[in-house]
Amino acid sequence: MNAILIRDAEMFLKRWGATRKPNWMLWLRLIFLTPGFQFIFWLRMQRAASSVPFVGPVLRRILWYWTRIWFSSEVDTDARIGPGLYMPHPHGIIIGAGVRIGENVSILQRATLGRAGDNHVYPVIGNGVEIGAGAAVLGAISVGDGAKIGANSVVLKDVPAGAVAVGAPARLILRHAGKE
Amino acid sequence: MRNALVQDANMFLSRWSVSRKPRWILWGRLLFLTPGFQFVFWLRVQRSLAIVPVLGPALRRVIWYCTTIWFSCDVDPQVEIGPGLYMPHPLGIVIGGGVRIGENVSILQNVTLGRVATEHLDPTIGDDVEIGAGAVVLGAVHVGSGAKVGANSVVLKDVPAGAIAVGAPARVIIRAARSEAIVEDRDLASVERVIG
Repeated sequence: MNAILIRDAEMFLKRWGATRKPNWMLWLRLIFLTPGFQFIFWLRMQRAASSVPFVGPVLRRILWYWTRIWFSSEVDTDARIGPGLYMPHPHGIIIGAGVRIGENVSILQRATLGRAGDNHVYPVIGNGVEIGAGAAVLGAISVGDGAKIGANSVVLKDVPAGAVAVGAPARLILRHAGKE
Repeated sequence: MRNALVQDANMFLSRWSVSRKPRWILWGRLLFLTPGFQFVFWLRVQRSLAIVPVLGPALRRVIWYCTTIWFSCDVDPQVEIGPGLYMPHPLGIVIGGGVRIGENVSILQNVTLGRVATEHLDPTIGDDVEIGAGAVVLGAVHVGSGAKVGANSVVLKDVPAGAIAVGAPARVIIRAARSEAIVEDRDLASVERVIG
């Protein structure tokens, strides 16, 4: 878990323009005065809590409840999230139970990742994906490595690697083709 | 209020794929560890306080304030909501005073139901309606029973029963027996992408 948290911290430091390794002062700022990092910290703690014998599941559920109330964001304890998660503004973010998220992914405020309708199939997010504010990614779709999802867009189909998805419902813009 | 709460609880249990009646352990989980059910519970409490003489309105206001701050949701105590309300993620939901909501309705996070700035006319929502994340329903519109409102859509016109409204401003898609007739044919291709 330590290694994962350091990867998460490095994502924040990179955005702050801090080039050096996290020293104690930056760690204090991250842990006590950075809601985004605090939220990710408690998500990682929930994962760690499940390995505690006997009380693990109950402890995890209690941590989840208070994290949910404090940050107004709901990330299901069964969602799998890779290291290097970046959530600068943890408010109104909803991530469903079966979601799989790769490494170095940015998720902004009010983003929803979840199922569409009653079938229990969830999206899979690749590495280095950026998800804009208010975006909804719904259903059994995959978002490829390095893709970007625009603010308030509603993504209901696969997004190839490196593409940009915008609009409701989302249109795809393939950046490598040189034109739309 | 009791009957309404049991129907609310059954909506949550059916989504959890629990088929049996709520036992004490499920009630415990609903009341203490399920923000969605807690929020619905406090809405029902606010509603029932209206009939308490003298202290009722003040107490209701205090509970409304605490509920609003705790869940980051602002639902006016005047809203009439049928039994079986399902709010899985009570975050950023705003519902104005004159809104009427039917039975077994699902309302997701960041939804707004209210009036258009100057007019005092609010939407009415039928039974079994599902309102997706971030959707906005404004003005004197009626959303018919069984209709669905897509994520992030902005509904400014009536939605017939069983139809789907998507986009901003929302286009209405009628779900007929086999083929789908597009009522407002503004962007056929994108509608087909949604329903295909």
